[in-house]
Amino acid sequence: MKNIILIVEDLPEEQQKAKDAVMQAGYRAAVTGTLDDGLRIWKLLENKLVGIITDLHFPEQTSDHKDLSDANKPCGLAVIAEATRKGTPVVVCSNINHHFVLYVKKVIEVLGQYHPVGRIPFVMDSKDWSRAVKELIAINNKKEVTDEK
Amino acid sequence: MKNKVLICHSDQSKVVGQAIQTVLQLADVDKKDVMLVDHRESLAEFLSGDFTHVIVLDYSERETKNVGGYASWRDISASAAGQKIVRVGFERYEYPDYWMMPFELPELFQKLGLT
Repeated sequence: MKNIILIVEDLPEEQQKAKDAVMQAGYRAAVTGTLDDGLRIWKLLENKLVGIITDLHFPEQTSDHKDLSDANKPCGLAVIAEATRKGTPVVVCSNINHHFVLYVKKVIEVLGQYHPVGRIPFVMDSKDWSRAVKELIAINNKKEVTDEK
Repeated sequence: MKNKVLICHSDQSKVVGQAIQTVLQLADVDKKDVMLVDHRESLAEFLSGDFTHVIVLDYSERETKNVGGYASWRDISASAAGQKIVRVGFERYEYPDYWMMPFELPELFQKLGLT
């Protein structure tokens, strides 16, 4: 049974908010804060995943040394691209205006056209995890209907 | 609330996990409420059950951090929602949730909050 939502978000306080929103919706949350761990956990939980909610900017890998430039990498794009390739439902939850990188939004829109569900929801301006969870459940339901056909 | 314990182990430490499973019965944790799982399946098992306590064996910061006890501890800790998690290994670390082997039984129960 698919009941796990993978959260990729590096800030601990946002991780907690995301977990709360996922549990409130009746699902379990697998949480990670780096691209490497996200891809590894994705592989481990593949058959149990409802989908993924990802931030846009987070480190590529865990490091003992805090490097702010690493934390600002748009690693979420790699998660989105992989989700598009695999057909895994994915939602972006990020404060994009804060990062002044609106070009990323365009990239996500283009990738969304190639995703099996036809779009990649983007919860922007504020990290509204409850809304992101609802969007993910909605596109997962749509995907299941499509898969049945 | 009934205590349910997940013990994450490697091939080498499975026997340690089994010993802990037996010992936990002294703390009124039924053997069937203690699950042993390989590190490779630990996060999936953790997320599929209602565990109150997790014991992660083979914790080490010296070896590769993407497998084994370190990865199990990191993955489960990040996804935990109030569960008591204890990491166990042979090296010396000063973390309050770390438990260095060899150990005394009262120490195990104390770390797990089962006394």
